Amino acid sequence: MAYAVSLETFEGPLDLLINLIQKNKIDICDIPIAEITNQYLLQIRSWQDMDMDVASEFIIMAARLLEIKAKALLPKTETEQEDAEDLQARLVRQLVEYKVFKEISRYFQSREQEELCAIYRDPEYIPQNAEAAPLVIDPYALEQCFKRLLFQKEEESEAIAPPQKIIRELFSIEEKIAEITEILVQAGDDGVSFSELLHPDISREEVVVTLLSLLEMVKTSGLRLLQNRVFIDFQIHREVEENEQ
Amino acid sequence: MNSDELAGVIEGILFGAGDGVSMSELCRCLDKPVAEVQFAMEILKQDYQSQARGIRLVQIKDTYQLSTKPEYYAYIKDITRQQEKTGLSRAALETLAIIAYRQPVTRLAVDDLRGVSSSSAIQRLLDRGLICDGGRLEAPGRPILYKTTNAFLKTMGLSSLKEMPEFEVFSQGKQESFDLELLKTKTQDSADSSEAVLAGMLEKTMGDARILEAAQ
Repeated sequence: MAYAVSLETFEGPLDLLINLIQKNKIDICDIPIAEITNQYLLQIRSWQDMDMDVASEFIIMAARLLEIKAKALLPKTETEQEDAEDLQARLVRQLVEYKVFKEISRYFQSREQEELCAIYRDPEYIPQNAEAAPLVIDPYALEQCFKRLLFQKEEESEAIAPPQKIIRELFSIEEKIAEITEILVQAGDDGVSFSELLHPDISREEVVVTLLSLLEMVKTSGLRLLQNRVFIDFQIHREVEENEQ
Repeated sequence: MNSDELAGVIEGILFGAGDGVSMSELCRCLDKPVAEVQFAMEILKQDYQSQARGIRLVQIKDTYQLSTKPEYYAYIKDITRQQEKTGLSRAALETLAIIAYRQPVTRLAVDDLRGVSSSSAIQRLLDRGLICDGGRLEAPGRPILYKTTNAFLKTMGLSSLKEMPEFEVFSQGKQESFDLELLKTKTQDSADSSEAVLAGMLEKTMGDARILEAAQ
């Protein structure tokens, strides 16, 4: 499959619309809705062609644009005319407002970048005179502090993921199959019931391995399982092949 | 103790503490009235503005702290060998911008303004301590109202929320991209005004000294 990379990313449908408006060099208050709707839909389709999941917010905006476009095209009464204008005016208001906050976020980013270059020194560890300083702890502040520590820890450990815990395999299917085969050989024609394979203090894991082994044996070495009703014990027989007889 | 000496002691306290120290704590340690400490602080601040100093005085609300000057970072980063610092994501910055100017505000209001869900951005900002729970809105479901914290001010290099540019500065920028130079001159103005305050204060103390001298 082709690996497609789109360099432009958008924070949401409003971001995409503003990008289109700027690309077309049009006034935000006087959007040619049909043209913008077409371009908006083209962008979404190109994402879909690239097998990208399009977030539902983008689809909702597409529906809004189409509604405005459709209302503008259809013949209408006066109140309907107002409705259509209202829809567009609401979208424009939203775009204008969002654009302002985009500017502010850019301003915050430049300030943040500058401040990242300031280095503060941590207080040196000085053994405190416990009696001198009254201990005033706000439980909420303590919780915040704890959360921050956890968050830092998480950020640190994101970089180097330690190996996951390795659980020792206590029972293997191969061993279990050998064990069951032996039991079946001893039992002869009578076969055994499933419950007979399970000793009293069996672990959950061993039960699972026993069942998996049985299923494996049914598939590979001809085993017959008989059950009269659902949810009851079942009988296990060896399907003795003719050349063995 | 004269004001210069007092400024020196304050510098010592701030360096020793490392953490931010509030004006009231300083007054308690120095056993001096607020006006006197503030005056000395102003001397210290002016002194740090000189290019000969690599440290600056950071004020967040009424706490003071020392940090290195951002403009000298290029020379300092080699020695500290710290990891490359990354800033907030675009989503987080947009969310923060809305909360900063609309606080206290609900998540839903932020979502509406951005046209996308902001819950993960809000969680990130909460984790970083840049915003906090600022009470509940008396509406169905009593949603949480978010507001910015002092850590937000520190991150943005602001001493108070009042220092943020007026909302209109951005909204009247209209089509043109926001002019950062305009803001730089604005901060320059505030630096000038603090200089004027200092000059005024100096004049006043000089006057007081003259009166004292005359009295003697």
